[in-house]
Amino acid sequence: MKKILQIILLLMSAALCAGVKLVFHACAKPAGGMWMHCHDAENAVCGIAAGLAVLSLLMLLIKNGKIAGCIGILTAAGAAAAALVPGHIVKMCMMDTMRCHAVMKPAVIVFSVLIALLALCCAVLRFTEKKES
Amino acid sequence: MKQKISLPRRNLAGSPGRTAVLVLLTALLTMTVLGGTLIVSGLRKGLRSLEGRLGADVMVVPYEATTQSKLEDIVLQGSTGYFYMDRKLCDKITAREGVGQVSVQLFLASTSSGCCSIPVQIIGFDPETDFTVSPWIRQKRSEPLGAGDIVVGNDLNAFVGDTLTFYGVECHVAAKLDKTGTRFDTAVFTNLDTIRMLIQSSIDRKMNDFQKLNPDGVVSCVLINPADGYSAEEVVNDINLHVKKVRAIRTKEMISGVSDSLSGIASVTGILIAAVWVLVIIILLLVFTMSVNERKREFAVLRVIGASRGAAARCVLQEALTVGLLGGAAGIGIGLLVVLPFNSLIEETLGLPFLLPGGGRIALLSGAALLLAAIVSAAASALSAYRISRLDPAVILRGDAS
Repeated sequence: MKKILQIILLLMSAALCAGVKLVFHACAKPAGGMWMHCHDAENAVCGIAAGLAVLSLLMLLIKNGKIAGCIGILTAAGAAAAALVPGHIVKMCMMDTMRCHAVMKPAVIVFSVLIALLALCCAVLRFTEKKES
Repeated sequence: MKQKISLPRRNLAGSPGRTAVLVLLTALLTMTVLGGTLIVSGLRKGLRSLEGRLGADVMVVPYEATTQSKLEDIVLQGSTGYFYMDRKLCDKITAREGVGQVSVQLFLASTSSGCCSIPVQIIGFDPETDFTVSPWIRQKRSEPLGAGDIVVGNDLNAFVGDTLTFYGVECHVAAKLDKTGTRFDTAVFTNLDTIRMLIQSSIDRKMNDFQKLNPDGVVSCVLINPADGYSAEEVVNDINLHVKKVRAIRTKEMISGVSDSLSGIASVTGILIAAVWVLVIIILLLVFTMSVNERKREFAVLRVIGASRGAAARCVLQEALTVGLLGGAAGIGIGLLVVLPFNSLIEETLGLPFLLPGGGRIALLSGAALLLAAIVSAAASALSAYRISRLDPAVILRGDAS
């Protein structure tokens, strides 16, 4: 169960990393124009998600429950930070109807919240694992 | 007593696969019911909001505007665009019989104002005569708008005190309106002096389609409320008959298209919800029946060790209720996670006014969906519970039962 949850966490982090670039990406670059602010948010989320994927992998590989639990908490904090990137940490476009607001922001929030919850569950499981042994 | 409560839970935990399927099915039912209801409620609220915001019974526009088939897009869907007619026509319209309240508006579409924006519709109104926009601007700002002051719709990421530049003219955000779920959420409002300044600037920069325009001598539309004793239809017919180069339209006629689309979507959603309901109830009924058939001997043993008929039936019902509540909670979570954050995308996709219900109503609908999931699960297991209560343990344990 523990392992399955950690694998799901890893897959979701990877999905956020790839998804924010390929599926629920920010506004497109206007023809002959410059990238908009939301592109920076997209890159930031992608970077954080890549970090979350690495942390999830580490949690899966590390056998020490206490260290793995701490990594889980760090992953949850990272996911919370990812949720705050679009609109709060990095500025977005002018109108709520634009793609970055209508698609990217909600998708990133949903993924990040799920990752954070899953990471916390994994952390609790890994912390309690040591007590059991 | 403790055993009675924990037995259904132990049964559910003992067959994780079956429990997961049942929870998933009830989650699907709840998600569809809640999501569908929220979308239909959002559309209805959006339509009501649009009806309220249009404010005038009759709208008079230049005749060319109606032939461009863009008018409804501009008025209802939030598309950007502008058209003008001679201000003298307004005086002719005002003089017609049956015309009560009259106010004019001027339209202008901005270009992308620098980075990270798309064109917005700028609507200029006359604060002295306006009866459509001013009442809801007053909810946010009681002082009159000064030169260069603008009021922005809720979907624009500009806030009070910010400066937006249109055609090189710096405008100050004086107020931000509440969400309406209509095209007004992406519009910018200002007084006639400011919009004339913006139109002139757009002409000077050769960015306006009407290069020979005198902003002081034109209006985009005339909004009318009929005088007492006259109907909107009479006023529309009179203007269309006697004033040339303009077209009077009843605003309710414009909304009728939106209203028809809403009815269509509500019907499709209703059919979808009904189909999911029927499907899920049939599957739940089958799964509960099969599961109870498989576990006949289990229940027979329970009866032999002293459980009453009622206790055996309650056990089945409690299992179903637990499944219903778990699935219902999961369905509500998924439904809210899809509909709430993605409401802008839903609005864009449907192309109709969309305004989500308030928090209280959402909580009420969620509670109702949870109750429904529990009732449906319990109802689907009722037949199995009845059959278990009629079971003869001796026959089952001897292996004679089919």
